[in-house]
Amino acid sequence: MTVKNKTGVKSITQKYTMKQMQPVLLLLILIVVSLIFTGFNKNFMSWQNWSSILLTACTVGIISIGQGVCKMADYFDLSVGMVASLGGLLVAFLLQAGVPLLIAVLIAIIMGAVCGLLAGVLVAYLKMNSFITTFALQSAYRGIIYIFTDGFPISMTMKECFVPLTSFCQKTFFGSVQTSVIAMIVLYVVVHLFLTYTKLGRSIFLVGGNQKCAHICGINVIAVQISIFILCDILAVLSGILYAGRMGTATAFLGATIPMESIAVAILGGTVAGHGNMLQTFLAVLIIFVVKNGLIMMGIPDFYQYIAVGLIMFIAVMVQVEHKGR
Amino acid sequence: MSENIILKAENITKSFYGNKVLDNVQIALKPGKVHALCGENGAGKSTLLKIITGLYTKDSGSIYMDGKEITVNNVDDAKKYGIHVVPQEMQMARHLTVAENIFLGNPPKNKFGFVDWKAMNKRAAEVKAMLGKHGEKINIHDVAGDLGMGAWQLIEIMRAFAGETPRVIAFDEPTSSLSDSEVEALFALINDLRDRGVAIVYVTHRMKEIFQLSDEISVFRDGKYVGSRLTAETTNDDLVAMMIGRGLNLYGEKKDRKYIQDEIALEVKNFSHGKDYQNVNLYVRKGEILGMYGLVGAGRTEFVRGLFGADPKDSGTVLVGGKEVKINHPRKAIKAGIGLATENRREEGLMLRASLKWNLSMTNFPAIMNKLGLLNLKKEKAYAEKGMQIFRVKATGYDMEAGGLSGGNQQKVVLSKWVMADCDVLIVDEPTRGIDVGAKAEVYASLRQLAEQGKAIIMVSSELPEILGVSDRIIVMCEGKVTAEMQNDDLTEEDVIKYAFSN
Repeated sequence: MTVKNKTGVKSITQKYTMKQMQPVLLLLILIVVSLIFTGFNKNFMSWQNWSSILLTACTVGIISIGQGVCKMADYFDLSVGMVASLGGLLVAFLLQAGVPLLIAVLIAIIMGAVCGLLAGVLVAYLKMNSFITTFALQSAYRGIIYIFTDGFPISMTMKECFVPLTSFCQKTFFGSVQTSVIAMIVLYVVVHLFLTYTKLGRSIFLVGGNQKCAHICGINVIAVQISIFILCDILAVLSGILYAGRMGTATAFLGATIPMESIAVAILGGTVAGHGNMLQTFLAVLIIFVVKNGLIMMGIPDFYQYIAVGLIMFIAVMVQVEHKGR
Repeated sequence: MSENIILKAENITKSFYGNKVLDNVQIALKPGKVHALCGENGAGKSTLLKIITGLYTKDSGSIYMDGKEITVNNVDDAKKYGIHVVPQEMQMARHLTVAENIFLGNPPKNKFGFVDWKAMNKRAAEVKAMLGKHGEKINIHDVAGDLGMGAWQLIEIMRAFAGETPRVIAFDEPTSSLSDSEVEALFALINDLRDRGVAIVYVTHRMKEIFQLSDEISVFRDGKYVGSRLTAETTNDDLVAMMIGRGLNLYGEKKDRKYIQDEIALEVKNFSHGKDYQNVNLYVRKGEILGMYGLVGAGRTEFVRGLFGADPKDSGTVLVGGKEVKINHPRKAIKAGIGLATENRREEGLMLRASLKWNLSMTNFPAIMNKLGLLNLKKEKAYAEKGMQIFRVKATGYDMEAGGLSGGNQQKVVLSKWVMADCDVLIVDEPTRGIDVGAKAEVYASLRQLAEQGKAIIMVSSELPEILGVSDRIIVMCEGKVTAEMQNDDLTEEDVIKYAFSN
């Protein structure tokens, strides 16, 4: 059908598919929302404010990378929040025990990989539902954290052993950009390159798009699925460590809202099984945190932010549904 | 003649995203007649059916019922006028009973607004009685999920009888998922509905059914109305010519075996897996097309999947080019130079939502990688370009989604991706299922082209004309065992089919 119109005049919807339009659409939303907030408060557009938006965004931002990759394969990972908390706490604990920072981080990453492997094996190999499985896992992780910490956070202030971590995380570049923000941007770029230029990255899309076809075409579907969870949980650990270093405290309470927020980002970014990209995911993170920041600057109470985020997601899903079917 | 028309649609036009899929088409249905809609995939017959039955809304044109213009904006509108459809993909609530499914969405209610179960079951029984002997097999208290496709169609038809008296019932490819006995029962039912004065619209790809069942035929091509004929005055060749707009030699030139080489490309020994297939032995030479015939359930598909490593097997050895290879995963099969085009193209054969480029390169990552083992996107484009030229896939470019192609072109992409993966042995399972006659000819030509290049081809099919028309040698399977092997020299259908049935 499409062939016949090759020579004819194409309308915009024919020339550009929804897939190509999506980043433009998200960018437009971001610009419009930013302009509206600038109208209310001129300080919104300041460098200072934007670096603060980025800083608040980076914990969820980094986790959303992994959540987005999970969503590409039609999975959810609800354990990311608790894995992030575990990562922060483990590094804090190891530093307290005198382990050098780099090795402590490495051990935490390995722990993240093990968490991912566990989730991956349960979901991919035993074919358990990812939503329920990772929901159960996050509950178990929460329990483990409480048992080992008695529910108290590990404070990093005024203690010599935490200085390497806190000073690294609180370093600023370009005036007011903290390490975490740089790390987030680097991770987005790295994962984008990974998805675009490696066989495993491409396989993630293929397995998400059609498992059966991927299997017939020689792709080791289960290995790909497991590696998705490993990637996701390693990113969660990194995010957790950066958060702990930045805030000067490692806490179990980090994990409460993160899974849902990261899923919201993935959905707003237009990620569906077999499709998605890091640019859109990044734009989606920005939109959500720009709205939160803007509302605070307008003096609107916290609680309304949740409604606003809900509304944005609602609209995003509506736009996607509109363009999916014919 | 005109006073006898129940439903007439005129000048119907419909576009999707600027693509005109129906261009000024028409149809006129008469009571007590079966009207077949024919045309290749993408000809617009299903779209027209969906417009009449309210699933799609038309862009322009008019629909008349008993001479009066009507508006059909949704399925409920259509039902009010007694227009019903039995869709190809039937919608059934699997956990509910037959009676509940019949009144799905509109159950009888009592005065408190709750479902009146007694009334529902009573009316379901009445509806069942309306179908007479056709409804006998079905129990209204059965759970829908336990029943077969044939029963589901009955439920769809019962839905039509649950409200106003049905006047028009449309069937969209109703036999595509039915067994032979179910098809027979369905035809008996359709004939019965015809005798009751219902106007039947029947969409199918199967020529045999058109002539067996219909009174009138309307042909569509590329979204345009070609013409209507009385079935009794039309021959098979006439119809094919109308559908594709030219004469056609479906299976290509008479076989020329000179390109069959002596060298055996693939040999399979003692293949067994449980009840699916036992002790299968076969070989295929380079340049040869080996046809595997058998009834549905004979174990052919299971066997080739076991051979390819897509499903597990119990025992058996595979020799490729005389050397034994261990195959327990499709990856190993591909490495050994074997490709499998599965029977369900849309589910397993292709990534429908991915680009043609991705579809083509996914079987052969090494070909698009650079020295560092990273994907080289430029190389991939050239690779895809080459892949699309093998069988001249009709598409706007390699960035197009595979789901947007016609069935025939989709199948060509599936074949291309295996050819591009340097497969020497190509297994094709039901290569022309669900594609139209023009595309079939192209698929056959493609297979022949590959054989001439020295590829060995195993073609699994349950269409006997196709087996006889295309293959050089034929193997027949029945109940998991090979029952016959013969050179395809002047064989008739009877010669082959007798081995497909157990004694």
